[in-house]
Amino acid sequence: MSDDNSVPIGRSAAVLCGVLFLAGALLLLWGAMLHAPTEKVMGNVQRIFYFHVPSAANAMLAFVLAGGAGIAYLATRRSGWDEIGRAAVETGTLWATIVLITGPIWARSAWGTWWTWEPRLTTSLITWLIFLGAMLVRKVSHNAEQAARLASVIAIVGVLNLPVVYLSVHWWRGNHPVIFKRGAEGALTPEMWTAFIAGMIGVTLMHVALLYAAWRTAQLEDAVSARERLMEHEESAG
Amino acid sequence: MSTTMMFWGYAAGFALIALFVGRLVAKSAALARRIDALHR
Repeated sequence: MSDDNSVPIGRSAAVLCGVLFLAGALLLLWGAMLHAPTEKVMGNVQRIFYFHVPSAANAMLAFVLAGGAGIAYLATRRSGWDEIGRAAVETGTLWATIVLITGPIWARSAWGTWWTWEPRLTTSLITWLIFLGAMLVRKVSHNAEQAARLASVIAIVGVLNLPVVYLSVHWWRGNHPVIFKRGAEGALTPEMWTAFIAGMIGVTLMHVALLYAAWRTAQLEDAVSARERLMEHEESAG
Repeated sequence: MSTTMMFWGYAAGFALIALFVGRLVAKSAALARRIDALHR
């Protein structure tokens, strides 16, 4: 708890999170809707790219953070690492869900189908399921410490899967577009690059705000659990 | 078709974020009430 008990993340931090989030959302929308030109072949649906790719990058960042926190938790058993890992799995799963929703919406218009079992889509779905598992294990377990250990292991397994997701388009050559490779430098015009960078910064700002709020909520959750355990102990002793 | 799909892509994404924020606000408010009750 910080400067005001009625606002669990602290009033000043809540305002800062709100400002960061709003600035990020406006930057993303400015780049995608106002700055980027309409792509000649796909039309307006191509603008999903400015939301889809930054969401995928932020999902990966959050999952790497969750995996790192998982390793640190297993090594030290300090609840602080578990709180970071819990928050990162939550925000990472959010961005990965956005990727798995915006991708098929784009594909329906560009490919004429919502989904194909091509390598990038399939490996992304597997990663999403792994991290969903890391979240669900906490819901079903009655032992918080055991759940934290298991969720840490699942997050580490999920991180080991990330290079497979990234390299799947090179290893198995599916339908998924690859913009960032040698020979594809002209795929984006300078205005499209600016919009893409605005989207990356915008989604990252939104992510920082959400991750901070999720982390503080995880801290508060642990503070409540610790207080409840202490009171149970006092009642049984007294 | 292309513009409609773009709209639904952004609408779905921001709706998910709104759900995430709503869940976080509800959860942290419930925890704050719980910790206040425990301190009393």
